Amino acid sequence: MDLVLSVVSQIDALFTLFIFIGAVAGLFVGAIPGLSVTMATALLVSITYTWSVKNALAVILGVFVSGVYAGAVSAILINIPGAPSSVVTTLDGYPMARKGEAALALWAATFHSFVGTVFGFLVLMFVAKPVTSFALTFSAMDYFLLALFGLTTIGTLTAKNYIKGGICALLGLLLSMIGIDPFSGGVRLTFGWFDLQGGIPLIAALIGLFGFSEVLDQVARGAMTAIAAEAGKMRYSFREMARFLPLSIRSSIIGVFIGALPGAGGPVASIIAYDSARKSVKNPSRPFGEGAVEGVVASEAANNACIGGALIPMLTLAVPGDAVTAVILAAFYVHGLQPGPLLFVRTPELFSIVLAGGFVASVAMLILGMTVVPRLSRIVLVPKRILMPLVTVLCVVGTYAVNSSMFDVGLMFCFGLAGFLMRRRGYPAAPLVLGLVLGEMMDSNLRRAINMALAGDNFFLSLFGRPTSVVLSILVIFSVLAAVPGVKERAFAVFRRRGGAEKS
Amino acid sequence: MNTSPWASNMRHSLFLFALAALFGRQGAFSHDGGDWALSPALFPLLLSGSLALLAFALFVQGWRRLGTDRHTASPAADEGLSTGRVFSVFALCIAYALLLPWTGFFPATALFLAFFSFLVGERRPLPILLISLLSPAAIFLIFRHGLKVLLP
Repeated sequence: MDLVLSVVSQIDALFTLFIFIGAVAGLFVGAIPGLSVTMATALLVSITYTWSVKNALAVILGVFVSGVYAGAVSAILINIPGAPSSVVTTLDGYPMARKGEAALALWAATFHSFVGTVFGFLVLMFVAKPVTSFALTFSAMDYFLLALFGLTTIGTLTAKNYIKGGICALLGLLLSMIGIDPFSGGVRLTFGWFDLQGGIPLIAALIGLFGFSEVLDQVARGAMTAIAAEAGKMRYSFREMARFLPLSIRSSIIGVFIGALPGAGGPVASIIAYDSARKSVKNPSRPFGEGAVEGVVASEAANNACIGGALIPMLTLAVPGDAVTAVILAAFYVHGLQPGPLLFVRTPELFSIVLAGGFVASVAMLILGMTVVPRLSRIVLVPKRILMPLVTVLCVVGTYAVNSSMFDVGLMFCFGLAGFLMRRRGYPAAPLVLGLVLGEMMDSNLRRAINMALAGDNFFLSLFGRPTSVVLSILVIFSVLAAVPGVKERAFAVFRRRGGAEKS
Repeated sequence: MNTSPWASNMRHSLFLFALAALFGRQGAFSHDGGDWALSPALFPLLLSGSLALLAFALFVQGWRRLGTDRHTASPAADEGLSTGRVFSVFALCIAYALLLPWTGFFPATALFLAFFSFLVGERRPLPILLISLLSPAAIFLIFRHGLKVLLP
């Protein structure tokens, strides 16, 4: 009760105003591919250096919460995810926009991002310490298996032919190996190109595979009318959204937990939540991947719940859960504060400020999502012969903004052409992008795990002997086997026969 | 050439084999001479091997289905699509990327937008003029002055 009162006491007019300013900035930064929330937060740390800690945290949390949500806006409207964590949102969000339900998709993303964010901060408020203790039991092999599970899942989800989904995930992982190896400092897979030593820029791949390939696809189809004949109704029905609350909460639980694992983050959380939704929702509004609102709900609730999750290890152990929390950690140090176990003893009010900031920022996000974002949904009504040239220019500007490099722009165009050809031949882009995101994490954790296992008595027991590793290995095996044609049917037939034998 | 999607998958598998071999060879070059289990080449080699395995699976799947689905071949993926226009737009984009460093953002973007919208069917002079002049100005103001982002 004391904590609740302490949180409420932090909220005043100036604090709220700063959060709203941050939320507006986050909305634009998050919705424009190429401008990342991490970049905006890093910029804010330097700008707010002389401010009071409370006001600085207010702006930073406003940008963080709103920016993570805003990735869904461009994902739904023009099929370009604003951030990697919104890749999964494109699977159903964009088909919804094409079917004239852009406003509904945006409303679902807004409401359930709000639910996810609030849930994440509630978990942070009440069960931060136990969650941190469990997250810390994850070994290097567990991280590798978790990412592998995510990739096998997305491969199954996005391709009609599982082999093609797996091929795309492997290509993404191979592309992520290009550049300098963080362990040895040696150069890998650059084919002698100096420009590739920095690796494949993720934003260039993301914009090319989703944005520019969509432009080429629309040009190929020839019909240059609007994306949809209508943007959908603009009325907000909380009741309509409330029926998805159980799914939203389930996805948020996944999001918080994955968010609390340092390095895993939004992309993994949204894939696993999407897969869980696909398996648990018996009668979706449409088949998943063809415009099911449940797909948007699961993905958005999970990636926003990651915010609270990522803050848990950052505040309790000074271990950042993702790139943005690493920057926020730096902001704490800049202001002379020390997160970790002693934070709750020395500066307990700081914990209250973070919680208050999170809750107010989620309300700010909801208000902006209800007022500003629906106006944006009218983009789908603009004729494509006007929209597509403009989207291409935005693709170029967004790609160039990251490294100020024309090489990245060229790569973006190449990824776009590859994405177009892949799309026409049934190879999904989402596993490739997620392979690109998770590759480095998988490589470093696999080698770390092998290194530790080599020092142990039993190599395989050291690698796979822990309970979490066993569970994750089983999940990976099931995920792969379930995709092999005939295996699932045979397994069901065996269970049915056994059930029948027991009854008789 | 057989236009069945399964035959097409078999052709893709050959390309993927070549890609796996290429990445595998490049990956092996990055071996630092130490223990293979800890080598930077380990993961790329594992991935290349897995890619070759899946390419083989794609080939076998295509081979088996080609025999059974011979009479139910579906239309080719590109049917009804204008690939010529796609490659014209792609060439225009490459020209835009090459022009940007020479002329700067505003002139290159104005020209690009005018040509692109004409290529995809906009024939009215006023909308073309408005798109090609107003949008680069708006993007320049928002990104360069509002968000302090460098433009090409």
